[in-house]
Amino acid sequence: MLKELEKILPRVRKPARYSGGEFAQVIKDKAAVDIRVVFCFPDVYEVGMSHLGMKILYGLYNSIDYCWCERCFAPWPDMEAELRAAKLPLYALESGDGLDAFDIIAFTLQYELSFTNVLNMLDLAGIPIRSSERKGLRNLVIAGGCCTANPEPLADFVDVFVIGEGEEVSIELFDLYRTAKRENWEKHRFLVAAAGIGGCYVPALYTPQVDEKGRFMGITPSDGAPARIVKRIVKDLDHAYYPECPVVPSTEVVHDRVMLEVMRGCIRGCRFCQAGHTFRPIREKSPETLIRQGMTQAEKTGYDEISLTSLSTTDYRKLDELCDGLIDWCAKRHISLALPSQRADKFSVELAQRLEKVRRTGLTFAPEAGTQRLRDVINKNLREEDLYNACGLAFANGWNSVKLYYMMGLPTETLEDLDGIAKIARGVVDVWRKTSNNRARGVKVTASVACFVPKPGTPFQWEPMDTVEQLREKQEYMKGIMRIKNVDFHWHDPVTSHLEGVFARGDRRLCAVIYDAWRRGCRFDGWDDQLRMDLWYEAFAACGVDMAEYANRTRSFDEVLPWEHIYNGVTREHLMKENLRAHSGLASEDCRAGCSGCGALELLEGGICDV
Amino acid sequence: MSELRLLFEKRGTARYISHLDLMQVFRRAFARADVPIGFTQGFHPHPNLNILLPLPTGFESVCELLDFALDAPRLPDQFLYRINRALPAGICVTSVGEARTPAKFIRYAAYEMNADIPIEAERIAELFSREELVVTKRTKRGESETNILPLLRDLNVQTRDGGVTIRAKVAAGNENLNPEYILAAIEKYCGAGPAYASYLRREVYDAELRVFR
Repeated sequence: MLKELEKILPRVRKPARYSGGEFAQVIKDKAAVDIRVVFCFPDVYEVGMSHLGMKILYGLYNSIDYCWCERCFAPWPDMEAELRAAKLPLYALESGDGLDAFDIIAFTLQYELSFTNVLNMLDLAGIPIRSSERKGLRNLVIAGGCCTANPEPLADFVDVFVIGEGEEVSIELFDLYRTAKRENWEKHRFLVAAAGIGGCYVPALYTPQVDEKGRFMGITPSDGAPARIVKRIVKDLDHAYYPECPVVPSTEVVHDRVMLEVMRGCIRGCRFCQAGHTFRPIREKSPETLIRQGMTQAEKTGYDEISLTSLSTTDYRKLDELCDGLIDWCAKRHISLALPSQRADKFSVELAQRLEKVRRTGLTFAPEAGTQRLRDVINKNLREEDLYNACGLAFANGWNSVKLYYMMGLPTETLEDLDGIAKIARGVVDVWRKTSNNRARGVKVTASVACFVPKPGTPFQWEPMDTVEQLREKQEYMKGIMRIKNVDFHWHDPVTSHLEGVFARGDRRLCAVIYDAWRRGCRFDGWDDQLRMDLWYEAFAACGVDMAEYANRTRSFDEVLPWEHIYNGVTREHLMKENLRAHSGLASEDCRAGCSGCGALELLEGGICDV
Repeated sequence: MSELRLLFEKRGTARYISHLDLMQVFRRAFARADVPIGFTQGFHPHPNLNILLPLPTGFESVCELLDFALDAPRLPDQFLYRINRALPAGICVTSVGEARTPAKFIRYAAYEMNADIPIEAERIAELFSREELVVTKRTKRGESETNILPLLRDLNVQTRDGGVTIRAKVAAGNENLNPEYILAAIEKYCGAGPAYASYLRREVYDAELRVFR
């Protein structure tokens, strides 16, 4: 470790974030590899080290002999100040080398409100922020992750976006980079060649057309780049790379456990859910593979919890078989097996009890909306009776707390829908009174109500978001009606969601705003204690960009949307059809009850979805 | 189930692992090394691990002690090799034995600190030969003015390039003096500004200054 760093670290909070040295970090000889990659997570260590995608890609990249992949996280403002004062560059944890020493700087974009951190991390390493200012091949900035459903707000800063699942495409990109580096290509030549790799989007090769008001009208590719960038997927998840031993943090992180990914995609088609649409088609892993991977990872990492993760794990077909194969093995080793959340209509006491053999965990359900009408609009096919049944079963079997997740600001929402949230909370407490066998212990019902943010790639991508004022009014109303005994009501200030809503459906005009806001000092915008809305308002004003134009405007089906050249596999026709059904109050069947022909099947090229 | 005691080093990047996090690090290392450890009884069983004298985050040490209950008749073969392979960089177990002496017999810990302060060793030595040396000490009940000299023994100062090296034995265990107060006293009485210092715990002792194991 650098002497200068040793002097800084005693002064910052949680220095273990910045020291590296964790178990299973990968150290290679930098002279013996052809390319050096740094995987950058634009949030703090504890958040980044919880991210499954990073664990997979870090392991995968390091499985390539010619490549060494290291890690870097956004330094908290106290550490940023120390680094700047000491004139130390932001560095990768494994080697301690500044990011400017790396061939490829790879960001994952998981959240719109981490965009300023991307700029800040580059700047902290002394790397020019704009793609056009980075002349050579060195320090190529690439980015992937779910926010690439609309990469346009970062188009000025990123050289290559990797659209979809990164396992295969990033290796193809690295292979190309290796050739380009060996043969000393110019950056432009590399970018043109990269645009020829399926799933690679090189924003510099695309020119947006705008009308006289600057509004997006379409985009034109050059240098032979494709008009539409089709998302990449891993077709055979069962045989895909999965890390045997991810880096095990030496300090507590948010998700500190084995994450066993049981499937990708979701059969449900909730209309607000971006991942439910952009992660299609549905691919499951076999229980045999999962049992093997779960045991191996638990043995090698020493974790005492295995979490069965996916967008909706209770929809995993062979969940019983999987649990049968793991539960006894886990119990013997004091390892608990957990489901992150359950669907109330699939809730099984037997399953929940088996899972809690080692440790009792809370119950979480997500009705998302307070009335059947609105749940039909958003296609959350969950009936109130299902929820009460599930809660009743749980209470009768000794549980005494339930968490319920909702959204407010959903399309067509009225006060009646908000009343429904309170009604359900009361209903759950009533169920507890009728079913609990230990009423002396009391019950706790927690209702968390988030603000709905329309996301690209979903049937609601054309919908206006509620304004901050509307959301605040609704929250005030909710606070009034949620004063219920045994019920906790949680909410969140809507300004954060509003900003998220602007960037989610942004275009390239927002690049200037992000740059300007970062210059003014915006960082960690997703953190309430760091968000500086005053600076953001100044930045929007200085750039002449109207936030409402992005967040609160109804888009017509005739508009070309700024992200429509990015194709996630679900057709525009499907999204429009689902949007119209929403406004007619019609729910749609899930993928297993009947294929709706969303288009994602095409990505499997002759394969079968959801087998 | 037998109570065993590990002697281990905590150096390099591992110095930033906090006391609480270190328990988890060891729990996982035992699991990775496939060494069965005992769990407490009760509704929420947790691993029976105890680090005898918590080390402040940021300090290095060559004499950390950890007690654990082994849930097996004896340690597996090549125990040291296995556990050390399972630990993060900077943590190295150097020996293992039975936990015979209770932790309450720890009275002193020896530290070596390297402080980047431009003050001659003689001046510092003079300071610590006074009758009394009062610094503001944070305690659980707030701040108090404390004479630290009774909590200190065998202080030795040497000038080195760019600063001084101070070695001292300080009270540890029941009564405790964080060696940072030695630097605080120098700052207060010699007018040196806040400076960087590295800390290394070298040994732990009982009341008779016998090495504690």
